[in-house]
Amino acid sequence: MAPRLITAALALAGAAVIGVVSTAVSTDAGSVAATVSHNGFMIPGLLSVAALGLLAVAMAIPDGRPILLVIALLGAAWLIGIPDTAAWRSLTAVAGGWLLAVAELAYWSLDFRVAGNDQPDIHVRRAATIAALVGASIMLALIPQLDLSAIPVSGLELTAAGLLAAAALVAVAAVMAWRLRPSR
Amino acid sequence: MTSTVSSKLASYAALGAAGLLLALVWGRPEAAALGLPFIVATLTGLALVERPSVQASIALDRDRLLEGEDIHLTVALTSTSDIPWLQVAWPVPPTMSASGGSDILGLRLAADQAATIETVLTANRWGVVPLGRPLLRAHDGLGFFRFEGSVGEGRILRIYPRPETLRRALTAAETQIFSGNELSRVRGDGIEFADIRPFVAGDRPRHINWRMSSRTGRLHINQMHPERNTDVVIFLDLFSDVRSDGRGTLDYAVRAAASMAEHYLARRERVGIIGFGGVLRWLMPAMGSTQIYRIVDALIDSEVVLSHSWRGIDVIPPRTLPPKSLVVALTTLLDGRVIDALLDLRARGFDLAVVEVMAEEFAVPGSHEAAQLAHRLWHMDRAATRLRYRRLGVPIVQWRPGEPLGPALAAGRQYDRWNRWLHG
Repeated sequence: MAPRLITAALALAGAAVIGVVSTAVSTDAGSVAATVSHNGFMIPGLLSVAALGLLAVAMAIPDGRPILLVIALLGAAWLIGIPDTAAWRSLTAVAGGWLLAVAELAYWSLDFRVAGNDQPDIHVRRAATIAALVGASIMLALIPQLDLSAIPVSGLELTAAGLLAAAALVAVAAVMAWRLRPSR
Repeated sequence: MTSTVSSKLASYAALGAAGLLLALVWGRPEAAALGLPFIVATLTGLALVERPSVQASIALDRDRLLEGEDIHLTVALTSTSDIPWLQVAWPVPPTMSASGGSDILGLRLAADQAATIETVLTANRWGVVPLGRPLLRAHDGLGFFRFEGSVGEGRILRIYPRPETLRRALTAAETQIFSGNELSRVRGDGIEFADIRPFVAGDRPRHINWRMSSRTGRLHINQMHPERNTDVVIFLDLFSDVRSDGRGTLDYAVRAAASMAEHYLARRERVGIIGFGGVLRWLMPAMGSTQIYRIVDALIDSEVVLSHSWRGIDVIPPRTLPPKSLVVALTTLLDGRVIDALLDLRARGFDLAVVEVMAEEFAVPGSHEAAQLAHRLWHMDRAATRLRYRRLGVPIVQWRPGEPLGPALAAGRQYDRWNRWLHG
C-alpha cells in the first residue's frame, strides 16, 4: 500500500479513537455534554463525525487547511465529552499528544504527494521524530496534571501564565523569522 | 534557497494558543493540556530549523548521444547542516524520459558529508535539448519549513537521429564530373559496357573490339559508361509537422534525411540540405565524412516555425541547388508553399523525387459524419496532389512513419527507371 494511504488511514483511525472515546464517556455524569443535554453523547458525537468527515476530505483533496479545524473539533469533543474527574483530566494530556500524532500523520500523508524514490530511512527517522515529540509533549502535559488541585484554576496567576506563554510563543516566532530571513 | 512556511506551523500555533485561551476563559486547565503538545511541537520546530546551504556538482557521462541511448547524470551534494529530507527533482525534457521510476529522489543529507545520486535519462527524440538544473527541496525535521532552489548549471544535450542503414536509395538521372559509384549515362572511360561503334582516329587501341572488327572487316571499339558521382540535395519540408501521441512527421522526416545523407555520402556523392520552412536553412553540397556531421548538426536544429509568408524557391541560394542535382524532398505534401515550390523546381528542370511522409498515420477521422466526409475529401485532395506530380514525371514514394525506409525507396527506384524511360 502506498505510504500516503497508510499514513492517511492511521490519521483517520487515530481521530476515530478520540471521537469514539469522547462520545462513549459523554453520557457519564459530570461531563459538560451530559450537563447541557439529556442526550449528552450527541454533541461530541456530531463533532467527532464532522471532524472525521473533514479529515477524510482533507486527505482526499488533498489539502492541509482543514486539518486545523479537524483537531479543533476533536479537541472540543474531548473537552465536552469527558467526565469532570481527576482520572479523565489526567488522560487529557495523553489525548493532547494523541491529537498531535493525528495531525502529524495527516500532514505527513500530504507530504507524500510530492514524494518520489525516497530512501527508506528518511521516513523511519521522521516516524521516530514524531514519536519522540508526542512522547515529550505528553510528559510535559502530565507534569501539571500530577496534582491539579494545587494549580489555581482561575485567577491572576493562571492569566499571567497564559499571557506569558503566548508572549513567549510570539517571541520565539519572531526570532525564527529573523533567522530565516532571505539571505542576500 | 527560498524558504516557504507550511500552513502546519500556523495551525499548530493557533491550536496551542486556542488551548491556552480556552483554559483562561473557561477556567479549565484541560484545554491548556490539549494545546500544550502543539506549542511544544511549534517551539521544537522553530528551534531546530536551520537554513540549509547546499553545494552541488553535476556530471554527465557525455553530451552527445543517439536516439534511444541513455545518459547518466550524477549529482554530488554537500551541505553545511543536516537536512533530514532533501528532494532532488530532475527537470526531464519532454523528449527524454527518466528510467527507474520517479524523477524525484529523496535522501537524507548529513552535515559535511557528500552524497551522490544518479539518474538515467533516455533520449526518445532527436534535437538540441536544454537540460535544466536540478531542483532541490529541503524539508526540516517536522515539516514546518521548505527550502527550495536549484543547483549547478544547465547543460545542452545534442541528440542525433538514429540513421537507418540503407542498401540502396534513389539515384540521380544525371551525374557530375567527379568519379564516384554511380553509372553515368554518358560514354567514356569506365568498366560498364555501353555500346560498340566504328573506330575513329584518336581512339585508344585497347578499346578495340577484335571479335566485331574481324567479323565486319572494319575496326570497332567498345564504349563504356564511366562511374561518376552525383549531387544530391535533401529538401526537408519545415512548414508542417503533423503530431499525435508524442510522435510527428518531422521526427521521421529528419531520421530519413539523416539516413539518406549517410547513404549518399558513403557512396562519395556530394550531399546538401535545404530546410524549407518559416526559417530557411541550407547547407551547400559537399562530400566527405565531415559533411555528415555538418548535416546531422543542421538537422537536429530543425523545427517548424510558424510563418504566413508565401515564399517560393527564389529564396533558396542558387549554389545550394547545383545543375543536374537530384533533389529528394521529404515532405508531408500538406503545405501549399512546399507543393508549389517542388513543382517549380521540376518546371526548372531539376531531377526531383518526393518521399512523402504519410500524415494519414497521425490524422484520425472524427466520429461525426461530417468529420468522416471531410477526412475522405482530404484523402481525395491528397491523391490529386500526388497525381499532379506523377503527371510531371516526379516519382513519389509513400513512406509510412515507423516502417523501414529502404523498401519504400526501392519502390521509388523502380518508378524512377520507368519515369526516365518515359521522360528521359
